[in-house]
Amino acid sequence: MKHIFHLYYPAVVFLYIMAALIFSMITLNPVCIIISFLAASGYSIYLNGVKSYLKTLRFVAVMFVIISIINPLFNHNGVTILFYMFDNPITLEACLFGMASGGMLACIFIWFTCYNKLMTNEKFLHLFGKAMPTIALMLSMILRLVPTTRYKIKCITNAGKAMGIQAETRRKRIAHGVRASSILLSWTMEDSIETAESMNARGYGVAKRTSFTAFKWSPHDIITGVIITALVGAVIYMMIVPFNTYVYYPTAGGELIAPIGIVGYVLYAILLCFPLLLELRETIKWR
Amino acid sequence: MQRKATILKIVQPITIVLCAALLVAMAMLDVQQTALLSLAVVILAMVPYFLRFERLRPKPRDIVPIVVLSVIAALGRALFTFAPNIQPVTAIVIISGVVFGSQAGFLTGALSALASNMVMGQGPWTPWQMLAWGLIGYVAGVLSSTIVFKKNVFLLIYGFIASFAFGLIMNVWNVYGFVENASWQAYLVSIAASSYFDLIHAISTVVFLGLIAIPWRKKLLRIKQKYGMDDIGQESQSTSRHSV
Repeated sequence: MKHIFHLYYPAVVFLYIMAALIFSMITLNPVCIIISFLAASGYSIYLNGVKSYLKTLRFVAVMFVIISIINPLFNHNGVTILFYMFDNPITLEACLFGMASGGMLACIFIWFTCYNKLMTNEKFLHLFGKAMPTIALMLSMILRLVPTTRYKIKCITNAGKAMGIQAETRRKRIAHGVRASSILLSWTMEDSIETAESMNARGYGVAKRTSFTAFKWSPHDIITGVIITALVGAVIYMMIVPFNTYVYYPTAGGELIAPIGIVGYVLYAILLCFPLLLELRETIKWR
Repeated sequence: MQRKATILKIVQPITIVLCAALLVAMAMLDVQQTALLSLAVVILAMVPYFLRFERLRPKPRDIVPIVVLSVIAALGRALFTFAPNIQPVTAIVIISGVVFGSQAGFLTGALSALASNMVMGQGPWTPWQMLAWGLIGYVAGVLSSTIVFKKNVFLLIYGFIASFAFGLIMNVWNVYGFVENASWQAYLVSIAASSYFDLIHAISTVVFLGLIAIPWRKKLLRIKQKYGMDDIGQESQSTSRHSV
């Protein structure tokens, strides 16, 4: 599916998704977690569809429940004791903290479904290819060879079938599998040596490698990059100057909704919903 | 270039030890934000390996076997998605380390993890898997120069131990990623919880090693000899290298 970040320079997309991921990882403020969860859910539904999102949500919900239960069992900080279990106090604070960290991890998982959609392999290679050219080359070779190798596996099994090799018993099937893997190894290895010779012949390593890229900086990217950077800076500032202090131990509580804090929440929400807002603008424009 | 690469060779194990110490210190000092910090530490631990590889300016003939083995490992992993603990990656990474040396072993492990997750979906576990498999390949490569690995039985034993080591490393992530205050107790519980899966992983690795270790090792060594390939990062041993 086409989404607007499709058109943006990979660095901008990477900046956004990393900001979302890292902020989601470091904040345990319940309001921030809820904002992050809603934004991640919205964007994940937009990118991956409801069906895929529900699948993620089911997994994430199980994880959330497990973490919420496990934390109070291992952690006995906090003063409000709910009950005793195996002579260990179960505290309200530990329960709340467990829910907060479970929610935080849920957010991270949902954000990663967005990451996988946003940062396609070519974008990833484009971003990190310059710093580590050899590794990037190897990665792109791997990605290229996956379908080739799949095709080769098919060839080998088909050839086996044509020769009348049939796997009746499990033992035979394993034997054939081993044989096929051995054939595959020799074949791909010999092929790869040929590739290497060809690379040598074409002058690999003689000069710096250049690579084709479909990405270019445009004014749009710069503006969006600056806006996202500014938002990130503002949110970091709001986090360092703790506008919304919320602590879990010894007693859970704190100022969740201070007037200036609301500004922080809004900024955080804008940052996380940035691509969705861009999409909204497009929809309104082209209606 | 070469000298820097040699320095990095020494730096590699030191970084690993330092990073392990950092992770332990994080637990001891009750550091907050362990999920993010531990991820950063793990990524840091891999930097010397990648840097050294870049610095060595490997020839195409040195990188292509790593690529091919990573592809086969990634495909093998994708084949067994229904049972994630049964996978040939560990076995293939070990073979790669044994035949092509420690650097190739590390790269095969790290790239198999990264590439297979590019197909199956990335997550915060990717760097941990990269490091865990990378180290398995690295140690396999280091041990291969000793006499121990000449016998296939030791290869199988190493595979068994390495699979559990993989579990130990991934459990560090489980603790830092999911538990609030990392502690030995939490780590032990996590190990206990995953021990069944680690056992399956270990058995599958031994089975895969048993099935492929002997024939693949022979084949790879033959190819290595036939085309005059060296271990990456080692001094040139074969004089028969023909340059095109």
